[in-house]
Amino acid sequence: MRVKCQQEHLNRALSAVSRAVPSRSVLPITQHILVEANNGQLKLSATDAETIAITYTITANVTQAGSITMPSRLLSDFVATLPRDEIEMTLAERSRQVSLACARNSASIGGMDPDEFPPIPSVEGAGAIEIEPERLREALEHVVFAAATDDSRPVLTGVDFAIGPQGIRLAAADGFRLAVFQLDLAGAGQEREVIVPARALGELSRLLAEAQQPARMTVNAGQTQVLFDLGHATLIANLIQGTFPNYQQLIPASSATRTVVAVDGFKQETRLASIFARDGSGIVRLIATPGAAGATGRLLVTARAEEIGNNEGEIDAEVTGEEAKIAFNSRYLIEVLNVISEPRVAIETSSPSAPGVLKPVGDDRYVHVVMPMFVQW
Amino acid sequence: MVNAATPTTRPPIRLLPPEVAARIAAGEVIERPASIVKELVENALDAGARTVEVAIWGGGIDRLRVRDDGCGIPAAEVADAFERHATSKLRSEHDLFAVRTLGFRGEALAAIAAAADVDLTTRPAGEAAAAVARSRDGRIDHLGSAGAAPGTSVEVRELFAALPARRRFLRAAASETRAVVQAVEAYALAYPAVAFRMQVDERRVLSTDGSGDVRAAFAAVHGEAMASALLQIAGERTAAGDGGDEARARVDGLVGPPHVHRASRRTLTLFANGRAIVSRALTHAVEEAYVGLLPGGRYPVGLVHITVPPDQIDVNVHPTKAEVRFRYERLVYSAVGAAVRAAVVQAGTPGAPLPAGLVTPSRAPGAQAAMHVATTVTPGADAVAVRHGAATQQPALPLPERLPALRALGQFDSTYLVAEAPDGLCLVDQHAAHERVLYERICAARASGAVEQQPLLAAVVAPLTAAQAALAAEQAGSLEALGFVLEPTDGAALIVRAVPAALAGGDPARVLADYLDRLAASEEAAGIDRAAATLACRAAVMAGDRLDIEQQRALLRALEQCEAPQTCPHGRPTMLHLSNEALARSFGRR
Repeated sequence: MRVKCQQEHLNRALSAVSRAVPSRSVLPITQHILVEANNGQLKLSATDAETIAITYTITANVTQAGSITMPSRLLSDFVATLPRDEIEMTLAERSRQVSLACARNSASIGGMDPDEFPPIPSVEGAGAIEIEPERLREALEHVVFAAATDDSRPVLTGVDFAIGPQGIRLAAADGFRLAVFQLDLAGAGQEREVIVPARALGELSRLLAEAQQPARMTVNAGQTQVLFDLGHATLIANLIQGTFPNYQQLIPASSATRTVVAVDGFKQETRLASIFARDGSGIVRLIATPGAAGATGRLLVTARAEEIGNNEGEIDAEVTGEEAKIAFNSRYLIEVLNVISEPRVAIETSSPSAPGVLKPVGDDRYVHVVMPMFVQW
Repeated sequence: MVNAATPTTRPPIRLLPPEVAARIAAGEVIERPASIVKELVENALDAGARTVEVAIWGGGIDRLRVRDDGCGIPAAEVADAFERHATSKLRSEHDLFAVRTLGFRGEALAAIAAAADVDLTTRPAGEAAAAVARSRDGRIDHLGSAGAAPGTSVEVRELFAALPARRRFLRAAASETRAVVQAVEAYALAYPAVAFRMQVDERRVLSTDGSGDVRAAFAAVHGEAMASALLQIAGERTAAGDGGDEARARVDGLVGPPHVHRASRRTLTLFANGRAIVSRALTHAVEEAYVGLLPGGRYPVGLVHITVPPDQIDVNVHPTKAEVRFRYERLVYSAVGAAVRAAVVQAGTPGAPLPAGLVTPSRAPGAQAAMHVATTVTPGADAVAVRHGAATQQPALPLPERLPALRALGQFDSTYLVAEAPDGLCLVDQHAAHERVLYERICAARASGAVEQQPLLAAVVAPLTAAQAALAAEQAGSLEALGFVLEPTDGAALIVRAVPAALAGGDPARVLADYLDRLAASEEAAGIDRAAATLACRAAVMAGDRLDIEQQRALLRALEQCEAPQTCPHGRPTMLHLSNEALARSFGRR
């Protein structure tokens, strides 16, 4: 193998694929990256051999085709510190020792037999769905954070993709909150439902940030794997098997109070309050008061920690319905406010103990349900 | 099938020959060398000995000897001493219920003689010569006289030589030795006015001076350093007894301050009317007094003497007399708990000593005390030193309960906060500190009924193991008080509807299972304190969590407000303090 490529390309490719490398593994070769040089391309692949595989292809000057695996950490760290120049990789026949030369640096890295590298599955299925990268990214950002990180109920560590003719409805929940985003797509194809690991989708978001062409999503016939093909990069994930909870019933159909506030102001007040709430289980209390006779109403955002003091902030609000009191975990509020890009958000509540709903005003694609905390008022 | 006993060949029932009966009975008393030593030492103490010497060889199995300078046995009574139920200590049935001596059943010598070869040499002070008796195979085969110092010496050889079945049950010599040493140590602690000397295979392992000073005896057994730190305890409780009499329990002794602890329960010895006893309940009473002050898996040290009127204790419960029964057990329990708690609380919870390198050698006199002076965070440290140094002095000053204002300087290793205190520098363990803050908040919230909960959007079923489910059922009250809302199912699983606010975020089923596991791991999982401590530990920031300066400030301010800021609920210190003085000294500025 003999190949030349640009340091910045290789560096970008390495930082993309190395995200799939498990931090700990019983299988040493999964800590490696598979490097394949062929047809003017250098393709890097990494997998944790369990849920995720990422490949990344860059253009290169291949004078002799070949392949090898190299330790991910060592290779990434080394390439990242090299100057922006051309890198030449050379691997002698029947050798496992790769020579890297760049500008006036050279190094030799020991590799492993590429045939022992876990196979990167090829996902083939009918009806690939084409999605503009920024739209897919937007959809993912609205839901991925709400997925459970604890794997005791595996389906909740994934995002539910309900695919239908109208598009894809993405949903994630962790037992305390639920995020649902409708991604409208004409001709998304036949009705299917798959659960994609949230971790894989987090990596997909990163890859999408620099994608130029539409992402093609393919689910294999057995509904066990999904492929996101971004052209220069691919991400393959094992789907989570199981049934996602029927979340429609968790979205309250009606509310007693609807409070509309500016997202920025609300976020700011919640952040302030959370500093005080941080120590007290993050409890932020909201009191919405309708304005008297045509005047604007207000939303009071408070947090208290007996030892440090109180914080009270007030923002203007359009409050329809009765006065409302409800307490939320500040983290849950801030995380959902962070993904709302519309200027205003509606908070729909019924009682201090019933789930609250947050919806961006003017964008009915997104619904976020949060369970309040029970506190003394 | 050859040897199968058929009805026709079954041997007739016969009374056992007396020697055999004696041997069987002896087994109840004589299990191992340590039990022989106990019987003989108790005889020596009952005989008014001022000095007791114990020597063993080969774990006491080969040979052991107990020699005292007590009143001895008159020559005429020597032969009777070997008879079963022969004793000078009980005269009537009535005496049995008011035993003031250690021995009383009159079984010791008879039982020992049934199990081993015994040589008895005894001389009352008034007599010219010592009487000698030799017992072989359970029978006296020689009676005579010889010259010897006043007192009694009993030598036992070849334990269980005639009872190979029993001999097989003995442990290795090393573990028999350990048992004997432990037994003798217990007496040495119980009887500081008696000089105990002990030899193992001709090597001196223990020597107390018999001065009557309990601390000196403790020092001889457990070392000077620990002994000097001990706190004096004293207390008495009385109540109306059920028989018209007065129930009474006196407690005194020495216990360790909270920063002195051991990994086993062996360094805590209990005595009832001078007798070392084993009592789970009373051990628990002592440990309860340290709840929240000792780290998990560590146990208090000390010795606790309980004195009750002789008719309020039954020592005839168990052949080895290690277990006793108190007529008014609740009273004794509360007397022990109160006495220990009072001493421990008074001692406060001094900040943990700093690494030795930071303590200058120039303050060496009474190194232990000096270390505390130099390194405790409390301005009242001199009072601590006084207390650690002398046995009887009471603290001059109560320790301040709260911390001075601390200014956050930063975080080190994502584990410790560095803070400026008025008189130096503090390193605060963020997990331990947060645990303390949460613990007090949880207790306060529970006390005021303001429990904060995070209910679930949809209830989940938590599959539990049988052990977890049993614990959850047993602790149902405290789980609810902390904020769990749980419902039973048909099986071991529970439906989780809400979790305590402090635990929100994780998977609720796992939160519950983890919580139960932690609760089970914290020993004697009873009482709401442990439940709250477990919750605090589960919810607190961990070592390795990065905290921004705002969070550091908030944590320190919250810690300042705590009732007992110096330790986490499990008793680990929350902070180390480097005084300006210690720093200046370390840098050679003073």
